[in-house]
Amino acid sequence: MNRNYRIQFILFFSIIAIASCKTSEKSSFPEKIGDIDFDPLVDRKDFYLCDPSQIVQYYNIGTTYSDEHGGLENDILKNLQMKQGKNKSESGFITIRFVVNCKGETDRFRVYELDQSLQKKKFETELVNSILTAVKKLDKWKVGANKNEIMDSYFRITFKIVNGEIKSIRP
Amino acid sequence: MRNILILFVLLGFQFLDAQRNCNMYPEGSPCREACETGSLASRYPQGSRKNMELYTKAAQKCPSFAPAWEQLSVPYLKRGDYLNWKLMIDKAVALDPMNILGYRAACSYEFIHDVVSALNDFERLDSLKSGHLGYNPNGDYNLRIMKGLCYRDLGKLDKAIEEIRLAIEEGMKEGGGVGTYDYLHLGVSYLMKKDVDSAFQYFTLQIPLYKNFPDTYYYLGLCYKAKNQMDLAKSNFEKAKALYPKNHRKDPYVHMPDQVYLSDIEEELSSLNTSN
Repeated sequence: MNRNYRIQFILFFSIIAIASCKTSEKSSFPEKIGDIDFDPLVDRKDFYLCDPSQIVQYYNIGTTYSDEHGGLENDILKNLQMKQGKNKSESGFITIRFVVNCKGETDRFRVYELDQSLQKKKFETELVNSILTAVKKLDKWKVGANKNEIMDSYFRITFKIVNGEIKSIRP
Repeated sequence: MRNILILFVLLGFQFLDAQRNCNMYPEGSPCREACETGSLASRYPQGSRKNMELYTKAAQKCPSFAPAWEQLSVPYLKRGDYLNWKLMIDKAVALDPMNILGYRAACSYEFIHDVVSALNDFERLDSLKSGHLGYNPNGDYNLRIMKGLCYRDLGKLDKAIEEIRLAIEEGMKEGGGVGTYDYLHLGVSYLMKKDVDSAFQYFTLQIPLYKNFPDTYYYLGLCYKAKNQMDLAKSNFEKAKALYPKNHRKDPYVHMPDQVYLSDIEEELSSLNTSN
């Protein structure tokens, strides 16, 4: 390797090294707000994704539940195992966010619990688990598509809880 | 590359936000820079890292630049992270209540169904503004209609009707006209009050505003059913069912108030068929 080539070689890798330092600067934001990364402790290892690098939002591609979401509330209420209104002091919002894959299957469930002022709170475990189980049982998803290409997407359902009772279920 | 292009197409509409006139801020001022950074941020997909970083930078340059906080809040709202949404939108509202309070109220109502917070905001907005309160984010609703619907959800039917009627009057007087769903909500409110004749009157007024809207015929069917005119009830439910596939409400984000689903119509038809 002659001297010129050696200098070019060193320069090239110096630039790459500087560039990688630059790109590895930690951002406080994920690649996309709301991304749910795989968690081996709670997520199914065999959950299939058409394209793991491109899970879009349900409203971008029209992912819905049966009857354009009309069946959502009924099916959840049917799936709920617990008697409502057990703990009268519980009020606030429980949001379940998850992935509907390109086959209409679901996984990567995450639960967000907030009080009536939208501040963090912990609801009674039985209520949260009952709601989560009911959502996991939903099996009539209509997978959204972009130009006939079906895609994986994120979905969310918010439960409004007033005095221990579910007052509304909203996509 | 193809995937990137698809994503670009999917999210393209989101690039249109925040096109504002930065010349309103003095040249070289931090707020002018913040505004320009915000314009740059809006070129990236909403909620993407770059988009969020640039809006954060804009907010740091000029902490009183409310649009940066507002734009930072939006992806959290749409993706169900209401804790972070509230952190951001509260800052925006504190800086510019006249322009952002109504938006926060509409989002609380539509996305979270947080009727109490939404109503507090609507009432505060009403005390700040005189007359028309403005419109919800997609422009379908005079905010006063939503204020009325909040009263209704809290069981205050008379107050709800009063507010919805006022909104319709305002729309007529102030040039915006009657909103697409105003008479429908007024009719449903009367139906909830069991005043079927008034409900019928407003559903009839709703028809010329949106001729092929299946929900109107569904609610007319309920009026006829309440009056025990089952043949007319059935024909209206059938009309609603026929119109449904091409004309039903389909908000991409949320369930809208008084929205009718095909299963609601079919349930009514099936109950009529069973009782015959």
